[in-house]
Amino acid sequence: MGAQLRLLPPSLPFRFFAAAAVYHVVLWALLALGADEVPGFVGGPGLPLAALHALTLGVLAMTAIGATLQILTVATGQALRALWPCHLVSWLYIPGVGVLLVGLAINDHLVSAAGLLPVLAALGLFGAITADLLRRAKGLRVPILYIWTALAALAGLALLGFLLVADLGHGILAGWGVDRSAIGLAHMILAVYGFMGMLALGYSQILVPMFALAQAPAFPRNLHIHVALAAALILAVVWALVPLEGLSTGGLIVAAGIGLVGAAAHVAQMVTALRTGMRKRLGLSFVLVRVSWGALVASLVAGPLALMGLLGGQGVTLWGAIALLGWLLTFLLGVLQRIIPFLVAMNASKVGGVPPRLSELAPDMPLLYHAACHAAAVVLVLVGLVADQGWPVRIGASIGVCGGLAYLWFAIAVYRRMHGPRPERGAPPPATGGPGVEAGGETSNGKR
Amino acid sequence: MIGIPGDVSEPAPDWAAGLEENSLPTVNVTAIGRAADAVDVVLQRLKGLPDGAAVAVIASGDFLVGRQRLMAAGFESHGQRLADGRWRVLVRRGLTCGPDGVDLSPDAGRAAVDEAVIEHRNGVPHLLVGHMDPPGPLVAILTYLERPDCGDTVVAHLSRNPVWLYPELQDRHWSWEQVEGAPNEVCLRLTRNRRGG
Repeated sequence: MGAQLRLLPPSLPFRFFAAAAVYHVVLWALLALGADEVPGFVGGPGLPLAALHALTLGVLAMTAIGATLQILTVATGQALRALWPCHLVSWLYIPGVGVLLVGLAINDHLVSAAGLLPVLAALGLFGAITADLLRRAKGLRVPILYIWTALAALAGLALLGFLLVADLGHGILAGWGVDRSAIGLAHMILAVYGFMGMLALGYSQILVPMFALAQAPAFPRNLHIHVALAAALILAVVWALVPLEGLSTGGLIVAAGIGLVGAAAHVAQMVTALRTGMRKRLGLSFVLVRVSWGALVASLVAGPLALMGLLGGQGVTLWGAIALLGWLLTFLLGVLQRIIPFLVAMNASKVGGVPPRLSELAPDMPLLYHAACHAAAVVLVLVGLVADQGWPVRIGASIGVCGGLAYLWFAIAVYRRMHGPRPERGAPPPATGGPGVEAGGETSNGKR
Repeated sequence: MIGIPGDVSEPAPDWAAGLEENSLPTVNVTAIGRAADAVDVVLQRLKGLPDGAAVAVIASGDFLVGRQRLMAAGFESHGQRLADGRWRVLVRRGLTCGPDGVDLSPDAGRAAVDEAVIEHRNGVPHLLVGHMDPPGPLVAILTYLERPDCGDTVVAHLSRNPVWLYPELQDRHWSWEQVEGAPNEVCLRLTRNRRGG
């Protein structure tokens, strides 16, 4: 059967998911250690910056790479031309992020650069792999447009990120008469609403209906929403880089307004999918996803308010926390807890024996612990920012570490069930066929 | 969830063993002829009950078809044959993930099935979903399998291997095998598991 099964060797996506789960713990640990510097943080080296990149590069982008390599191949029906570039991405990216975090934490631009260069190389390679898949894909018009937009944003944010790291050691931006904070803001907008945001919105078009067993969002309405969001992104980046402060603020507010309309329309489409879908009980994962949608909208309200100075001295930091922790991290952790059991169930059939049922794979307890800890951690960090106090951030981040460990426990438990003994059933297992899966390629089996 | 037994002896799962059976709400479906109608009555009785709450269903037979539909909707069950030949089936809403809370109403997923092309060849329904974008084929196939008039065999014609479908089929107690189809299509024969779940 020619171009059909595009299931990767499980170690490939899972190494990214495992690394993301580890960096998730690191993120909260760094935030706890640097808690006193978090209120008022708007950039600059130190533990908060390291924590920020543990989140963006270590958790968000890490998961995005693993998910893209697997989901895009399955959804588009296009095979990767070779697996070695994906392995190379992992070898460069996973340790590279660690080195970069060390460099940012200790404020050493050489160490930072030593981490950043392999990270940029890996992201470039990932971008090329993804672009190749997108170019060959048929159908899925709007999700693919989102991913193209995300790739364009990735190129922009990588360029600006390189400039920012280079500026740490050499002060090049001041020499060019360029405002470092403007570059930092544009970099942040591209990272949050561009790369990660567009990926999250694009994959939502496939994953949310799939999990809810609903129809995909209606075309061309979803195209109109994408156009609005992409326009808002471009406007925001351009206005962030405009050197005239008043003009820049006004333009950013307009861009946020367009983005708010687009985001609200996107959320409405997703809620419709949940309402009309066959599966009504989506469990804890979709509690997190629903909260994240609220945070997406809230971030686009908080952004303009912060720019207008209506959120006090912590406005920009508060906006960043709502967008990154409330929206992107919460969304990702919610979706990932459904993706991991799916991938394990699909891959387990090639390990041998009867494929496990989804209901046997996902342990409830660690997810319950994680959700409680995550909610408490995010709320306490926000409270710390509003109160301009470090101690709530420290307590919240410490709870976040516990939540991160619970999530790691969940991921390990699910992965182990792919290879280990499965829970006994009260009756003989059904005579169910399963796909025999070979690395990167074909299905070989039907009925058992 | 436990599997549906093919014989009388069915080990009681922990959740069923821990129930105080005399205090359970009881639904007697012995007078209802069609399994689908009996399931509707049971679902109605379960509506609004919290997770973990159970009802006892009294059925004239082993209620296997009804139990399969309940399991596909996220419920777990345990059956005991009574001394008078009737069956007492304990049913409760499942607590774990899986095909939980699947809406069995005929409206759910109708649009997806409408988009699919359905042909009957030698009495077997063939679902042609290769022209649909993901997750359309998945939704259309699962919706069709949930229909009360769905038989025990369905052939699905897809443009790509539906890797996301297999875990869902597994949870719904359907088996699959690849059969020969047209060039550039994936053709799967789906069969309902009557014995063992």
